[in-house]
Amino acid sequence: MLEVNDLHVYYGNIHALKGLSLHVAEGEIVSLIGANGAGKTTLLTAIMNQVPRAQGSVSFLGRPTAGMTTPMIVRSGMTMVPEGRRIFPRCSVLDNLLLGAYARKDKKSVRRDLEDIFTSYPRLAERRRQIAGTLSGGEQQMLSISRALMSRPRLMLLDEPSMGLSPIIVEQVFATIKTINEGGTTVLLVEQNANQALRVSHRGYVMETGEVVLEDSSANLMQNAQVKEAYLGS
Amino acid sequence: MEFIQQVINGLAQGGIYSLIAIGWTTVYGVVGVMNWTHGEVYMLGAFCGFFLFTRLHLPFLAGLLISMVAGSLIAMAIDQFGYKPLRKIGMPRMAGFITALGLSTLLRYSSTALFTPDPQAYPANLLSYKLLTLFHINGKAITVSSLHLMIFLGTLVIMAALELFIRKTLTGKAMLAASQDMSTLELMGANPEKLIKITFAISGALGAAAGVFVGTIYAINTMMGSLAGLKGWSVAILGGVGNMTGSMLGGLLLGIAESLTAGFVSTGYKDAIGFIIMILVLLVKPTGLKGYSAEEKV
Ligand SMILES: Nc1ncnc2c1ncn2[C@@H]1O[C@H](COP(=O)(O)OP(=O)(O)OP(=O)(O)O)[C@@H](O)[C@H]1O
Ligand SMILES: [Mg+2]
Repeated sequence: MLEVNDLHVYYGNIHALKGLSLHVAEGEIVSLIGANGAGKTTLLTAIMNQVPRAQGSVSFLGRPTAGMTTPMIVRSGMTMVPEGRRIFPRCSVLDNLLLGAYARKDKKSVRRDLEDIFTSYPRLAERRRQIAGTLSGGEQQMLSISRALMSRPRLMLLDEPSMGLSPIIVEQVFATIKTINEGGTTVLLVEQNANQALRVSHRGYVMETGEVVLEDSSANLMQNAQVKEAYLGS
Repeated sequence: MEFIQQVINGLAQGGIYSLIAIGWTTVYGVVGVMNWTHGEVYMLGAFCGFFLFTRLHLPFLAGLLISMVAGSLIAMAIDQFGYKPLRKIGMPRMAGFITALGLSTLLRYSSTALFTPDPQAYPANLLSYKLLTLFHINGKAITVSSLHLMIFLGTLVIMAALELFIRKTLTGKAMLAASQDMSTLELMGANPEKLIKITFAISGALGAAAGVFVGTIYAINTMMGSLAGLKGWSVAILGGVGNMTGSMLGGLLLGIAESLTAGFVSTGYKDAIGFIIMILVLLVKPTGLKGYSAEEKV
């Protein structure tokens, strides 16, 4: 579904991605683990064409995305839940969700999806008229993920959805990701919380300073001595 | 009661300031440029109205609407040829500023060459003029001219229409979201260039409407955009940059303050008062009356 091949990205003379390759197959949850500054966000924003690529290729659903703008990529079925949630703080919860469906023409099914989200996350339903900036961190993350769902993506990229959340909320966020995947959405999950990410995902990549250093099934990665020491804290 | 009379006198001018300031603040919010050509769009709107009223003898409403469309087109053209090329190279701050000032000067002086440097007036019979008595205080009549009343109501109608557009339509909501976080809005499949076009169109229409309203009260000239542009910007800051409601209130406040200054102090200080208020407000509350905190404003 998603193929990233030999991707290079530079910020000035910082070489942030050094020939990174990975792939995600339809139906999977793939996690990408890496420390601060490894280049995880750079990878996702480069896939969405929000930062320019110096070299390498990305293709989605068999078609190269070179030359597509970010909105075009979104319209083709891929979206991203950005790092730090990035909800629109001065818009209502409801408007945040409606904006998630900005590119969709089928107003009727947008309404239906909205009702589905409100049924699944009653917290958002209760607060639908509230200004999104007043939500708690966990609620904002749920809103950000739900907003991304409103575009009906076939592939969802998530950038550290557990960042800054309490353990109970983190559990909920990962459970949500699992539910979304079971609903038919493919997921590429970027995380520093390796433990949780590997537990929900099928396969995983470990990246360090712009490169993939390990790639395996999540079950194997959790047993890997190197991963245990560097990322699982044991 | 003199006080109340001056407040009422200031409302029409205040509504006009609000329109100018909203045009400023929406473009700044969505596009991130200080669009110094806005005063010129206001001036061109006033002159467009002048030609429609004096040459084509159009009725007021038709002339107003056509001038607003013209203002939209002019503002969109300014963006297309002035700012869009800069966005392609990442909108360097200084370049944006200099382009804006340069374009503004160009428009101002080519209009002077093209039209006339002399002040021009709209036809006297364009709108009916009657002194209406609103109510009495201690036996003294508080009055308003039908002209000022119409202008004030006109500005309110336009602002209400805009507010409805922003709150109720998806495009309007996207504009509001764009002023908070454009790159995230792109992740919803929204095309920034399209939203920027709409923003300039709205800003131009508001500027031109303000120009036509002013023309119905005062003589117009090709230099009128410079002071109005400055005042619009100070109102936008006063109201909190990027905040429409703030600009609305700020404009009314400035109109009233100017009227009070003219009535109780001296007309000579009238034009300075806006800047004095702005400086005072910024000293007390740097984000403006209804400003957002710095970290929210992307
Ligand atoms: N806009 C930018 N300009 C310059 N350098 C940048 C920029 N964004 C990221 N970098 C650098 O690129 C490298 C990769 O950053 P990136 O944000 O992709 O890492 P990350 O894995 O997402 O980190 P984190 O876990 O902190 O989110 C870092 O060295 C960072 O300093
Ligand atoms: Mg990151």
